[in-house]
Order: sequence, then C-alpha cells, then structure tokens
Amino acid sequence: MKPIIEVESLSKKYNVRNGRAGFKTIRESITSLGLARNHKNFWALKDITFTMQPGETMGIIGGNGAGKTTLLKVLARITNPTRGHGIIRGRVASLLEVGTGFHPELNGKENIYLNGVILNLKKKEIDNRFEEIVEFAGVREFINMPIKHYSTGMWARLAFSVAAHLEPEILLIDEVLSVGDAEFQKKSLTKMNELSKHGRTVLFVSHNMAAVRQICSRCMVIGGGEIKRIGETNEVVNAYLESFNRSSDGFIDLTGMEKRKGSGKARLKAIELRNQDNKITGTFSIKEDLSIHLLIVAFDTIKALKIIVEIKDSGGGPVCEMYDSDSGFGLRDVKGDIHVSLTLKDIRLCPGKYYITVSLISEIMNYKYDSYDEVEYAASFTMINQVAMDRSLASSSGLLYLTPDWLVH
Amino acid sequence: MDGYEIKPVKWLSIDFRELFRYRELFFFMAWRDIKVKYKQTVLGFLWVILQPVVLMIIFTILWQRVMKLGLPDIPYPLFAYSGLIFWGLFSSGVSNAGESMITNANIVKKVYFPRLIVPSSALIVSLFDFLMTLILYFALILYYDPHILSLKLIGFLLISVCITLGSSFGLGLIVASANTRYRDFRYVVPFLLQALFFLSPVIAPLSLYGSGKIAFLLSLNPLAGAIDLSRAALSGTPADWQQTAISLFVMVVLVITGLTYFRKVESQCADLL
Repeated sequence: MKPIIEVESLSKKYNVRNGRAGFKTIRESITSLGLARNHKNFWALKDITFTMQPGETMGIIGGNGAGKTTLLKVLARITNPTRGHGIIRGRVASLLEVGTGFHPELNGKENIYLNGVILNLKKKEIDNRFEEIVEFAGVREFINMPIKHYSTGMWARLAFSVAAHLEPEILLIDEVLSVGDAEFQKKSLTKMNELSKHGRTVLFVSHNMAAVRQICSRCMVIGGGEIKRIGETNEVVNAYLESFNRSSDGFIDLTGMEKRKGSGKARLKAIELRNQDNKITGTFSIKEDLSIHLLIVAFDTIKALKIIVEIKDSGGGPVCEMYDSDSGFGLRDVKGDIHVSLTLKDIRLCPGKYYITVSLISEIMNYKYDSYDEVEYAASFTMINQVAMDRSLASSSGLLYLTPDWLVH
Repeated sequence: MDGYEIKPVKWLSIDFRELFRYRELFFFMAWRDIKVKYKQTVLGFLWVILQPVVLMIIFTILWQRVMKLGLPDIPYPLFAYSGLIFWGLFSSGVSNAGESMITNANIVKKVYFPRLIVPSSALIVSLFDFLMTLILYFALILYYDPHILSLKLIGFLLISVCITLGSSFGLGLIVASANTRYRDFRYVVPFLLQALFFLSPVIAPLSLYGSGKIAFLLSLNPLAGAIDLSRAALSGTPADWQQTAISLFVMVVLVITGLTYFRKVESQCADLL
C-alpha cells in the first residue's frame, strides 16, 4: 500500500528580524535602507523525512519551540516549506486549535456551521451531523444563545465536538486536549482513539505523554527542528523523559534555559524543593511536606501574575494542576524578583518519579490570557516509601497512598 | 482523491477550481460579517442609510447656503446622495477588504484555504450595505422625478457598480497585502481614503478643479467614471463614454495589480500575520 503521508527533507526557514519573525513596519524598512540588515536565519524545520501508512497514529513530542507545530502547519499547507517535498494522499483536517473562527456574537448553531465550513466540511455534511454534534457537546439548551455567554468548558466542548465529527482520512492535531475539564478530556481522548481504530491516520502533537501512549502506535521526538528519535511509542517516550533528568537534588537553575514559551515578561529563574525541615532535597517520603519554591523575575510591572503548577507522573500523565487562585492566592502589581512558595502538606503520592511544570500567565479574561513563561518538566522529584513497610507500593497500587479513618460501627 | 503536494512555493497561481470548491466558505464568511455587523448596531440597517443621509443634508446646506453654487440638471440632494453611496461602497470596500487579513488572522494562521476568500468575502458586507442605501436612492428619484427611472438608469447603475466594486476589490487587495507585510500601513489608509474623497466627484463635479492636466489626472480615478455615469442617467445628459472607458481600464489595472501583489504575499501570510 502506498503511504498516506510521504515527506522528504522538509525544511522551513524563518527570517528573524529585530528578534521577531513575520511582519515588519514601513518605518523599519525605511530606516534599515543602506544599513547592514540585522537578519538572522532560523531553521524551524530541518530535513524532516518520514512516511505514514493509512491507519497509523503518530505522536509528536518535544520541547517548546522544537518545531512540532511548524511541522503540522507545513503538512496542512498553512505555511510553505523552504525546501523539501511531501505528498499527502487523503482528505486532511487540521486542528491546530479547537473552535477556529468561533465568533462570540453568533449563537451555538451558527458557530457550528461557521466552524464546520472553515474546517472544510460541506454545509450538507454539517446538516447531517448537526444533531450528533450538539448531543456530543451537551449544549442543547444553549444552542440558540450567543456563545459569548458560554462558559469556557461549554465553548471547548462545542468546538471539539465539531472537530470530532469531521471524519477526514488524515487528522493533524495540536494540543487540542489541553482544553476543557478532565471529564471532557477523557471523552475527547476516547473519541480520538475511536477515530484511529476506524482507520484514520492521526498525527498528534502533545505534551501529555499519557495521552500519546494511549493513542499513538508510533512517536517522534522533535528537537531543534529535527527528528531526534522516531519509533515505537513507549520506547520513544521513555527515552524522552529520561533526557529530562535534570539534577534531582532539589535545586534547579533555569536561567540558562532558552527556547521557552510565553512573552518573557516574567521568567522562572529557579526552583527549589524543600521538605518540612526546610532542607533542599529531591527525594521525599510519603507523609512528608513538599514545598515548591519559585524564584521568579518580572521585567515589567505586572498587574496580576497568575501561577499554575502542575505535577505529572513518570509517564508524563497529569497528577494535578494547581492554580494559585484555587488557594485564594494571587500576585498583584509585581515587579523585579519574586520568591513564592507553595507547600503541599502530608503528600501521599506513591513511590516513583514526578515532574513539575510551571506556567506564569496573566489574568484570564474572556477565556483569553497572555502567557509570560511556561517551563515543562522544570523540576523532578522522587517519592520513596518509608511508611508502608508492611507492603509494597508498586505502580499497580495507584497514584495515591491514602490512610483514611477506619471505624467499626 | 483529495490529496495534495507539499513543496516550496513562491508565486501561487490562482486555482479557480479550488476557489469554486471553497465557495461555501466564501458565503459563510460574508454571512458572518453581515450578521455580526447588523447584530452589533442598535439601529441595524437604518444606521447604514443614516450615514449618507446625514452627509447629504450637511452638504446640501453647505452647497446652497454657504457656497451658493448653482448645479446642473440634478437636484443637489440627489446629486450628493448618488455620489455618497458609491463613495460608501468604494471606501468601505477598501477598508473592509484591507483589514480582513488582520481581523481573520486567527483563522488564516490555523487552517488552510485559498486566502483570496478572506478579502473578497469582506467586500460582500460593503455591497450589502450599498444595496440597503439604494432603497433611499430610488425613493429620492421617485420624489424628484419618477420619469428618471428607466432601463437606461439600471444599466448605467450596473456598470457603475461594477467599476466601483472592481476598483474597491483591487485596491482592497493591495491594502490587505500591504497590511499583512507592513503592520503600520493601516494607519495610512484612512488618510488616503479621505484625500481620495475630495478627488472624486462625490459632492461636487470634478470640473470645479479646472481643465487640462489636472482634469486628466483626476479622470484616472475610477470613481470619476462610475459616479459620472450614474449621474448621466439621472440628468438625462449623454454619458461620457471616454471617461467610462478610462475608469474601466483603471479598474482592470487595479484588479490585476491587487491580485498579483496578493498572490505574492499569500504564500507567506501565515508566517507574516
């Protein structure tokens, strides 16, 4: 059988001008006349070569700015490659975000049609699937309401629901699962699993290693625009996570780390992990306290700085996502060096390795926010078992070691 | 099979078959723009008519009371209104199409489709508004002289609309491409349009500016032919076909220039926006 995706030496170059790619201003063009241009070339993709057979699912993982999204964009024809060649043999749907083209003033029904047509569905096809889409999204009562009144969750469900009913032969997905609540994420994962079982070819960019493991049979790691590793998913993901073994002694200096997400208005400089004796360590025992100290610098006054700390397990699966606001905490009008700590008392995570991901963002308004900094797998720590001596705590014991109050009545 | 090839492209040729396949997207984007616009204004379509009406009243007062100039053949309010609605179609078309790539950047950066759909569908809102203002145009004609209503008027109007819409499309494409490439270009557009307003026969015939070289330069403005032709039908004077031909020619040049420039920017617009 002919491969459904065949890509050879795809490369993509960006001209970086004054520290940014893309548009310029007339002023810059005039003022740079005759002067040495401060152009720099940046290769976002370098010699990407791979093939996929129909029905295969491929995960794409890698750090921020590695070129994952650029690869999807080139495959979807959104942007042109500078060199190289590729053949796509099938109808493609690209989901670089969910709800592309959603308009807040239009109601749910109107947005389903608009979004569907933008994603290259025919109106007739949307007519046929309309009921299903509404059902899957679970927004039937609100279908005639402008979506500016929808909650973030409803918005995301509606958006994914349209996307899930595309039925293309090839699906290019970028991180769409990062929206919505846990239940919805599970629902969408199931749907994607279903799609791949029905012979769809899926390319799936994600930071959620658990999702990649669940959905993808093959996986590639992209770094610096190149394919660093490609092969069977578990093997590739394990090797990838291994490479994050930054020092696990509890102090992680991040100042030298380049290529980060976010505008850079604030940066995470370092992380310290401390136990209840205020000692810096990378190893914690069940029932101990874990304090995460974040050393942040804000380069400009930030009205409201929101901090999100996530813990992921050794497989990259999410354990918890902690917003500072969940604890009633929030930084306002900050500038310069900031030292914040959060303490988890009496941690009950089962033995194993855990990763910490930190995001610094602005206040969320109308589902929108500015990202200042995001560091994935910024730190790791190891949980050990020094309490349950009478039994072993293996991965089959679950994520949590709980000791509830038992009573005889 | 729905597949395609990925390769470096510098100049995309216009694939009309593909544009036709994406026609539903064109209609939906136009429909969205109209719907949102009319939803957001309190007065809805009345607002669209109100704008030229208010300007018509102001210019009528200026013309008759302040400048005390006489005018040929057509009652001044009708003269001004007929100029204002064509100007409205042209200027709103240029600015809508010109801004369209920026306002739709979130879609352009996330999904593939022929980019030409964006500026051309943005033009439909302007055309729709124009059709609304035509209602009052015909009402004014009926009020002043019902005999003007004729097949000739309709025919002349159609040619005028074609010239105006075409020029608006061409110039809109140029603006859209320039906006995509140079982010500060958009600040120049309102000024250029305002200057063009006074260089078009909207509120006064261009003959006021004099004759000779100036007259020739002014005749290169495609709106000159469009507006004059529609007025020829109102006044019953013979149409100036030479001017109409010049305007048609300029329109074609604008469309070709616009398409060429747009195609050049199109291939990299997702990176530029």
